[in-house]
Amino acid sequence: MRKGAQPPKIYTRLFEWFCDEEYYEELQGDLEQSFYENIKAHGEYKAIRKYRKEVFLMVRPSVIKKIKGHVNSNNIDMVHNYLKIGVRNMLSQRLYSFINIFGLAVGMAATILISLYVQHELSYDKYHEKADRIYRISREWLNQDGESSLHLGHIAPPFAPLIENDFEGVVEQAVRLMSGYGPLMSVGDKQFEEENFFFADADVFKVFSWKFIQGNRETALVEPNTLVLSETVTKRYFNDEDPIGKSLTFNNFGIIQEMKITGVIEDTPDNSHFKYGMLCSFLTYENVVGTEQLMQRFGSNNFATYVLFPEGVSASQLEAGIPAFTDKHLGQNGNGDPASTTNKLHLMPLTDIHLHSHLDSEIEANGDIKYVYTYIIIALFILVIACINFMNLSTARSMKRAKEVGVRKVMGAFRSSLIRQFITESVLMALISALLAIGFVALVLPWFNNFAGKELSLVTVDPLFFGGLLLIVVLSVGLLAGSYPAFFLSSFTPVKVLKGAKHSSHKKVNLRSVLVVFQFFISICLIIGVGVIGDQIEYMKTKELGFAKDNMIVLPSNGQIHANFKLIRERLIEQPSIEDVTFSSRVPSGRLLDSQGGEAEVDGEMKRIDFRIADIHVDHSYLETLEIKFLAGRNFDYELASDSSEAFILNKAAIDGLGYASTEEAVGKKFNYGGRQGYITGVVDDFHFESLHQSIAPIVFVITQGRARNVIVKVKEGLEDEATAYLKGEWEELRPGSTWDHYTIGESFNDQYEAEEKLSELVSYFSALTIFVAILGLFGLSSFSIEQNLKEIGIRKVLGASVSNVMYMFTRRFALLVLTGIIVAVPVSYYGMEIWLEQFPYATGLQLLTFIIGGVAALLFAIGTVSYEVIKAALSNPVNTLRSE
Amino acid sequence: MKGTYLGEFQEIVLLAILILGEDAYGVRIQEEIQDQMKREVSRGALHTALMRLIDKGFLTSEMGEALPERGGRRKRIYSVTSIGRQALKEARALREQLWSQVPDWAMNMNYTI
Repeated sequence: MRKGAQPPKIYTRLFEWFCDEEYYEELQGDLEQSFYENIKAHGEYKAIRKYRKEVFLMVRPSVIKKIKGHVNSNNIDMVHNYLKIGVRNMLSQRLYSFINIFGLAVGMAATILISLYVQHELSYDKYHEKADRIYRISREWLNQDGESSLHLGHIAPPFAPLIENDFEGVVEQAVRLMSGYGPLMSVGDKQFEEENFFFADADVFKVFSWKFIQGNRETALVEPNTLVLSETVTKRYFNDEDPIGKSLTFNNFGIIQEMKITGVIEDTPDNSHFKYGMLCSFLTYENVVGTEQLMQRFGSNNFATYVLFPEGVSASQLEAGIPAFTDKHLGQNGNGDPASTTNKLHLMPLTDIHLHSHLDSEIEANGDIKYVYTYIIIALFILVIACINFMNLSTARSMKRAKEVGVRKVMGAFRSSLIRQFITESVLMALISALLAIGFVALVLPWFNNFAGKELSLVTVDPLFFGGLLLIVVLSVGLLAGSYPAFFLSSFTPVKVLKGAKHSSHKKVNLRSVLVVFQFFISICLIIGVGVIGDQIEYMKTKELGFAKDNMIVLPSNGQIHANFKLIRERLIEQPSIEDVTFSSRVPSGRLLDSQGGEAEVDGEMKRIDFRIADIHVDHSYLETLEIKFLAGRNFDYELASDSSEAFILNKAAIDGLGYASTEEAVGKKFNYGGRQGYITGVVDDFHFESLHQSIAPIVFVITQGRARNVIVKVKEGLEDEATAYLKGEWEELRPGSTWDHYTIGESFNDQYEAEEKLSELVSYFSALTIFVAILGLFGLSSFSIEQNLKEIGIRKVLGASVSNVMYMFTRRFALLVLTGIIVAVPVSYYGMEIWLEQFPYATGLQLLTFIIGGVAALLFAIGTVSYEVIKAALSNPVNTLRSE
Repeated sequence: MKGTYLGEFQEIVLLAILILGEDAYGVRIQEEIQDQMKREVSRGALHTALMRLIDKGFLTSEMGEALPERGGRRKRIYSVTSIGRQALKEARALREQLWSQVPDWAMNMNYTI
């Protein structure tokens, strides 16, 4: 038996605590025995889950300790009494109870929502039975200085079989998945472009435990031209017919191929770092390319590769062997260094990918652990603010009950029973809030799912986890909030309170003021945060990019378009709505992932380029169409045939990197790149090709020789609709059978900032909630304080105070608290937001205005809240308040 | 006396104990039921059933050997008493009596619309 695999202590203790001693030996023995058996059968993770479930299901009358006969039945009566008094109290002060319960419920609802979200984020890929033994391999390129120049989540096709072969015993399986790049799949008259199509090694099902609904997981993808479909995709093509043995026609990269369906698997679980729709046997692809050729393709990094380790083997054993492995298969770099100095393979646990992997290529965009932390912090903030309200209001209200406490003490109440009473009351209120909170969550969940792109549900979440969480929150909030009034009030001496000693609420600094300051501190931090995030998004969206991004439509290209491009271009330009047409391998707003090695003539000799220059394959009119500014030299020229293979145009970043003194100097120098030899003919100014998350990279433009995937059409302003309609018609002819697919560069740039916009939206919602809860609390507190001091107001008015005097007196107190909050919040949020902005190479400066708006907004909210009650009190006739007594 | 009524689950528990014989203790009974019935049964639910059956006098139990994989704890071995066997037989007889009165057509009827 492996050491360390023991049932979790916490559940064992819990069970020991509630289990009747008579059965404990037998039941605990059984639980442990099945725990160890489950480890063998299903692995540790499942065994622990099962153990936990079993323990919780033990909570039933036949197992739980019998309550001993000598328990004082009086206690039960007392609890009844506490509850009764609690309910009466709540009902007698409806406004405060409402504010209290409602505020706490809102806070709890936000917390529940966020914890559902966080739990889901953390659960990614854990459903695989062997999840803890699966790792993804990524490939990193370093430049001569050892700096990372590119890190891809996809690697070259030969690696997987070579690793399986070279690391026998250390690696159990290595499997590859390669995207089919949206092939057109058809059967009969049904045809769809399949987004989530992958070529996958047959062993993929030995690594990942996706469930088969039909077909055999061992043999499904062994033969060439076989397909496994997800349930949803199957329905799309075959409705309810049995798909096994039927065929679909694959059409992409000019290949048309019948493929036989050999299996149906469950849809990708929602918490997977990538989604599949169709898996096609890898041999299908291999047969097209040729096995030998495929094993030479160390440069085509399109293959997501996963390894499965045998049980008991750690990833470090493979990691240790990787440098030697890369040297063996990649040989030496051009300068004689072993390949491992610039080529690295990295391992990442499958379950970390979703939150921790942000490489230059991923199968799908991943989540981010930073956002998870942000959400957790915000959830805690809201909960803390709601709890503070709860405490503040309970404490304030309990002042009113000082007399009740005095009378109870005189009648013989113990201090302990008073404490218990106050705590029972606050737990009761917390419980009601929790129930209300669940209602809130159920209400907003559909909206939240839509917003976060998730399928969270209160039903599917582990009820034990959820119930436990709620119970902990209710108890801790109840106890915490109840403890202050409980201990404070119960300490009164009856003589003093009954004599009518006044508890001054004018004390300068008390716990309540501190808590109010803290609440506003948090609210102001969040307001400023929203402001700064907004500023940054605005900055990124409006920053001058250095080229004309407006009115550019991007369309997919294909072999036919590419071959006849000149003719097509001339035809398109004749349209009055179209200004210019060009094509290229990469489109601004996309990533610059292609690069090759080369040499440049610097100071009279050829030097190896020791940093990464990304390449963009373009046609002659590309730079002109995008209105990119030339610093020196000339553009590509149609008239010069040699330009298509010998002309290189570099951007300023590349020129600076190569070490030329000026841009003029660089023009005309010899330049070799990716097998082409020629000259630098021109230098363009730096512009933002990628989103503003990336620094401007060195770029070289070359004339395409068959790699241009995108056609860029510049449309005349105001004629967008005509142009789109015309292009649609053209493209239906040029790409028969494909769906009409286009986007504009401007939109695509803005899409890059979606993550920030989501964050901004979420933070603004939650900061609105926070402020709402804080103001709710302030309202309760101020109206209470005024109610307590109505007589004082009356006397002041009788003695000649004006309405504004009275208002000033009360508002000043609360305004001071908020001001203190502002003074603390500004430096803290300044510091925090500076850290946040550091991740952007191009960041907006922190603007004073944002901070002023945050502070002033909070102050105005606070004064507005307080003044309602203050004005009411100040306007009241002193006769009414002073008449009694 | 709680009566000798035998619920469906209790009947299954008794049968499982009879099948297991000497080996009839908690985990094994649980597994046997899960395997045969193809449904999840928690150890807690099983405990409740066992306690009811003991109350009715259908089961007796004694402590067995201690095993290391049980954390050195002993297991409790259950065995069916003669009243228990009697109750099982009656339940079966009652069922067979009912089955014998079910006309053939009632089970072989096909509804076609």
